[in-house]
Amino acid sequence: MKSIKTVTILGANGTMGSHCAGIIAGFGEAKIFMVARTLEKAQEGIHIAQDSIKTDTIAHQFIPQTYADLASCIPQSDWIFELTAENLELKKEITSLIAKYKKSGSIVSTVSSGLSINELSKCFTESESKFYFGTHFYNPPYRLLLCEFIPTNKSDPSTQAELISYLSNQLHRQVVITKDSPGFAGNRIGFQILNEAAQFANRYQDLGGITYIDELLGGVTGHTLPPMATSDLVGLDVHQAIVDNLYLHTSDEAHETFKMPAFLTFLISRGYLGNKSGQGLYKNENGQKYVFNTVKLRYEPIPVLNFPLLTKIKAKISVAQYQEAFNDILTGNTQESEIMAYFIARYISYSLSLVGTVVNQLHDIDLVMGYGFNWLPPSALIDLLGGYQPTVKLIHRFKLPVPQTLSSSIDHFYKLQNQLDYRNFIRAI
Amino acid sequence: MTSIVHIIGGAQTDFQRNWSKEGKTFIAMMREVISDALSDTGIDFQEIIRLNKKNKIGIFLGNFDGEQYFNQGHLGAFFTEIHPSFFGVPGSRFEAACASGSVAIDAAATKIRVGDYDLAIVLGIEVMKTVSSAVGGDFLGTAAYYEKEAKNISFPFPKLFGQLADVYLSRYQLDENRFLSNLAEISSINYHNAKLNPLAQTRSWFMNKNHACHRQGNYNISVGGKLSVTDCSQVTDGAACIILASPKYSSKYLQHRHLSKANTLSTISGWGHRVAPVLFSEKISESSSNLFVLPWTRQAVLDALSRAKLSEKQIDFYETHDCFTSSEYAAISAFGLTPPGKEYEVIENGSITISGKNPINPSGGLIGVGHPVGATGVRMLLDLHRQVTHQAGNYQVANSDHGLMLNIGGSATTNYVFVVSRSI
Repeated sequence: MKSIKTVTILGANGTMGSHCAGIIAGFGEAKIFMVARTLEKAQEGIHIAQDSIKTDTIAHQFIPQTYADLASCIPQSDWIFELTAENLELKKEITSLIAKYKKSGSIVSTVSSGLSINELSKCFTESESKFYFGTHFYNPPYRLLLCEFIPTNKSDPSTQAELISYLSNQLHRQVVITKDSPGFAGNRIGFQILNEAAQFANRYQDLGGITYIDELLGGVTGHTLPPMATSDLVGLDVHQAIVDNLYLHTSDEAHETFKMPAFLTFLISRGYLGNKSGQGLYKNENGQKYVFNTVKLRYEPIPVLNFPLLTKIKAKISVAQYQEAFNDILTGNTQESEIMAYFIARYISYSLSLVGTVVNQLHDIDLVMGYGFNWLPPSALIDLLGGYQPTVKLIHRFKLPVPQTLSSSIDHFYKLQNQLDYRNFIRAI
Repeated sequence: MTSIVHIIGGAQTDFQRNWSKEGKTFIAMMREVISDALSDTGIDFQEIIRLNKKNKIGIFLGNFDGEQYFNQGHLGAFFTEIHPSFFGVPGSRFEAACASGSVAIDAAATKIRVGDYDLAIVLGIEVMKTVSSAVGGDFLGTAAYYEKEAKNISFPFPKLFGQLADVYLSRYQLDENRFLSNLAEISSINYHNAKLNPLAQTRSWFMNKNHACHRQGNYNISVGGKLSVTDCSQVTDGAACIILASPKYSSKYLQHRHLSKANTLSTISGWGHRVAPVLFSEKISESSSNLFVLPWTRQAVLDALSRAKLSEKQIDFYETHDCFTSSEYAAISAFGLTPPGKEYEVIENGSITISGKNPINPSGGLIGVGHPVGATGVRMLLDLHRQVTHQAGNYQVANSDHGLMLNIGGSATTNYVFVVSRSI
C-alpha cells in the first residue's frame, strides 16, 4: 500500500460521510473528493466536515463532486471510502461502479452497520477484491474512536496490516478486527441491549415505560447515554435496520431479543425517527418534554419517578464507591434492582459469548464497547462484581449462558485501565 | 535530619474526564487518585495506620479555589472521608494559585527532609467544570490582584499573558510574524506530545501548526491580545498524587519489595521558590533594565540548580507551566536554554521537541495535558518522576537523568522550581 494522499468519499453529505471526511482531511491531511448527489449537497458535507473537527484550515483539501464525476475522481484516489445508505442493493450498485473505475491496487472500504462485507466484495474482480475491507467508523467519529475492521476471505494480509496502521497511527482510531458477521461486534452487543431495553419499556409501561427503563439503565449501570435516548440519537429507522438484520441472520439464544417491538414500528411508520426528525421516543414541545407511551401509543409528559434504591446507589457513585453501588444493585431485592441486575448479567453473558467467534480476544470486546458505545467495558463490570464467582452466580440467577471466556483462572479481567478508565462510564446522573 | 527526599510513585486522573457530567464530587476524585497512588506504590491502609501510630505520615493537599468551584474549604481534612485509616493523620491544604500543588510538595518535602515524617502523601486537586468558563475565568482572576487586574474583566488571565507576549515583542524587538509562528509551534508541540499521553485532556483533539497559526479563525478565536484559543491551556478537572519518602523508609521499601532503585525511586534534588510583585505592570516595571522579563522566574531556576548542585547543561528535560504559549516562551531563557530574547532559536531548531536535545513538556504540558489549577504542580512532579524512572510509556524521553519543572502562580508571581534526579 502506498501512502494515502487522495481519497474519494461516497455519501459525503451524510452524517458519517461528512464526519469521516473531517477526520481524514484533518488527521490524515489527505485531498478528498466529496461525492454527493449534487454539488450543493457535497458542499454541505464539506462544511460539516470542517465543523466536526473544529478547524477552518482544511477547506482547501476538499473537492465537491457528484456521482457523474466518479470516472474522474476514483482513478486518482488511493482510498475510496463508501459511506452510502445501509442498503445492500444500493451498496452493490455503487461498489460495482467503484470497481469499474478504480486503479489497480487502490483500497476500497465501506461503512456498514452489519451488511456482509464478503458479499459486497463480489463486486470486484478476483485480483482487486483483496483490496476491499469493511471499516466501520462510529458516529460521531471525532468523539467515538472505534473502527471495526472487517477483512474478507480474500483480503491481502500486507495491505490489511498497512491500512490498520494508517487508521491507528494517522487517523487515531482504536482498530478492532471483527469477523464478517451480522452487526459485527459493536452493534450486535449494543443493539441486543437497546432492543431488549425497548421490549422491557413496553413490558413495564405501567411502571413508567421508556422513562422507567432509561432511569434504571443509564449511567448507574455504565451507559453514559441511557438506552432509549441512544435509540433516539441513532435514529429509530437505523435501529430497525440493525435489529431486523440481526433477527434475520443470527440464531443464538438471544434471538428473540432482536425482535422489533411494535411500538417502534408504529413510530417509524409515522416518520417519528428520533432526534433527526424532531421526535421519536421523546419529544420537546413548548418547553415541555414528553415521552411515548408504548401501550397507548401517544406522547405523555415525562413521569416523575422516585426510587429510594436508585438514589442510594447514585449517592455512592457520586463519591466513587463503585463496588458498594454495584453490590446494592445485586442485593437490592426490588423490581428495579432486578431489572438492572438482569441487564448487567445479559451484557456480560452475551458480549463475552462473541469472543472467539466475532472477535479474537476478550479485550477486543472491551475496546468495542468502550470506544464505540461509551459503555462500561464488560470486563470492568466483572471485576466490579467481584470477579469470576459472583459473576457466574449472577448469570445463573437469570438462567443465561455462562460464556467460556469467563474463566476461573483469571484474577483481573479488565486489562485496559491504563488507556481507558472504566470509572468514567459509571455515572450518578 | 536528612537532606534527601525520595518520590516512590503516584497517580494522575484522566484529565479528559468531566466529573460534573459524571455526577461526581471532589470526594470521588480524591478517592480515585489516592486509591491509584496507593496501588502504584503498593502501600496499603494498614501501612498508613502503622505509620500514623508513630506520627510518621502526613497529608499535604494543594488546591486553589475549592470554596468557589465546589463550595468547600478545609480540604486537608477530607482524607478522613476516604478511609478510616486516615483518622488522626495530620493533613493541611496549601494555596498559591496555579502553584498550589508546588507549595504542598515543598511543605511535604520539608517535613521529610527534617525527619518529622517517613512518608508524605501530596495531592493536588481542582474541580473546575462545575461552572461556566466565564464564571471560572472570574474565579481565576483572584490569582491576580483581583481589584486592580481582574474585576469586571472577562477572562483576565489570557489578557495578562497576552501582555507578556507584547512585552516580549517590544523589549527584544522581535518580528511579530516570526514570534507568533514560534508560539504556534509551542502549542503544536504540546498537542503532539499529549497524543502520546493516555491521561492528557487533548489526546484525541485535532491540532497542527497550521491550525495554531490560523488565529482569529472561527475555531481559533482571540482570547487576549495576540493570543488565541490554541495559545491557551483549557479548563480541566483533575487530580494528581505523589508519595514522598525518607531515605530510611525508601530503603526498606525497596528491600521488602525486591525492587530496583533506579526504576522505582527518584530524588527531589533541588528546589527554588521566588515571589515576584503581584501586579503584572509592577513586574514589567521592575525588570525594565534586567536582561530577563521575568527575573524572579529565572532566579527560582538558578536556586533549584544550585541546591541540586547541577549546571543548566545537566538538565535533560523540562516540564514547564505553559498556561499560555507566552509563558513557555519566557521559560526557555529562564531555563538557560538560550539567552533572553533568543528563545526562538531552540523552537526553530527543534531542540524542545520530544526527540530534541532539550525536550520541554514531553507530557504535553498544560496546553496538551490540561491544567486543573491546584493539581498541576503535583502532576508535573509525577511526570518528572515517571521520566527519570523510565515509566513514562509512549512519552518517555531518551535521556532522563535529571528533569526540571517550573510551576507558576498568577502572572508568574509565585515561581516554583523542582529538580528531580534519577536515584542511583
